[in-house]
Amino acid sequence: MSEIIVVTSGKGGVGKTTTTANIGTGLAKLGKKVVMVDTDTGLRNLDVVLGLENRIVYNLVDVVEGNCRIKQAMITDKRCPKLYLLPTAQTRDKSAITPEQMIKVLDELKADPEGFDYIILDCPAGIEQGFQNAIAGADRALVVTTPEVSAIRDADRIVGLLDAHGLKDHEDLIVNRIRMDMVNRGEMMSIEDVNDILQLNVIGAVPDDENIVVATNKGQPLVGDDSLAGRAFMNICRRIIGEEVPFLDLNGKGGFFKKFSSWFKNDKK
Amino acid sequence: MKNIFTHGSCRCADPQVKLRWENKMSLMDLFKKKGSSDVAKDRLKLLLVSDRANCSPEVMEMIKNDIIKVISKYMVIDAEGLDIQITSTESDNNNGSVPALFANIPIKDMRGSDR
Repeated sequence: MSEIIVVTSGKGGVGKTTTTANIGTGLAKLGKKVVMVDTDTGLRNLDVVLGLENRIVYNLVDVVEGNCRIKQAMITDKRCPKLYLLPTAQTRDKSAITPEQMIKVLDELKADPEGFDYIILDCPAGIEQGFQNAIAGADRALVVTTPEVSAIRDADRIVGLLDAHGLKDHEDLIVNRIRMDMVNRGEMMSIEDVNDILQLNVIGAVPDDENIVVATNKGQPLVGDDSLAGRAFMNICRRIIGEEVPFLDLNGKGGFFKKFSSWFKNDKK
Repeated sequence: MKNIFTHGSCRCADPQVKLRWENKMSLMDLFKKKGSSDVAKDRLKLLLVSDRANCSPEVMEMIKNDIIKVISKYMVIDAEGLDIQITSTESDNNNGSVPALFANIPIKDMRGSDR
């Protein structure tokens, strides 16, 4: 039985696609069979973040319009044999697909004889048709936000729409791009602050890590490597499959002691 | 429709409000300098209350006009300077904050308009 997870945020640029790529790859590394579906028709990017942009032949719109079979549009990731990508069209717009057609595609993926454990949908920004398509068949939602006023406000709006769609109590929050140095100075909202405002289960927090930029440059998701963000994403994957994983200390290696010794130095001066 | 006006209150005259704010600020300054994260949190809490209340600017305008109509029966008010907004306030029963409709209604003349 496959679980369909939509990764959404409302606001653009908070890291939905990066999160989708890393969670999809992470779940596959944990031995799950995963297909990632890019629903951002016209502005697709999941293929680039995964480094699979040169392998696209057919796409989601072709499947919907009957130009190809679903298997023909799916790309296998050679680095990770259990991972598949179903890209969308770049030269069409969101109205090329309806929620009903999206549900039909998802039903076909669910009926796959080998069986996908997870179907992960990368949702476009906004609350219009693209969003409606993405959430239509979802069993569960991961809401991505950053600790900023605009992103949190949009996340709250998205949660309201997800609630109305019947996904209440199936929503988890990912706080992305958190900078602990700023949180410690009182210049950025903490994970607790965000949780307090949105009243949503926080399934994980990902630090603002320059390794993410490097990984995207290369087209290789960093989930599972020993960078702070790579570990944070892997922890989220483990929580998704039901493991209990304690929260990572986002202050970095020896963060507390470093801070402690810096206080000490300051006192001596 | 959700009942969002259960804690409706009416605040008249500006100076009182100002005074309250100043007291609050000086007390806070005594303890610590407020970081911008606290400012963000406070702003968001207010913002989400009005977002969640789903009160469109049109509805707010209708409420405002009805308030002007009712109050004008009893006193002369400055309809131009009237300001209403949905915010949150501490609940009397101590169970957190609840939505509240605040109205700032400048009074021009306490005598009834038709007297």
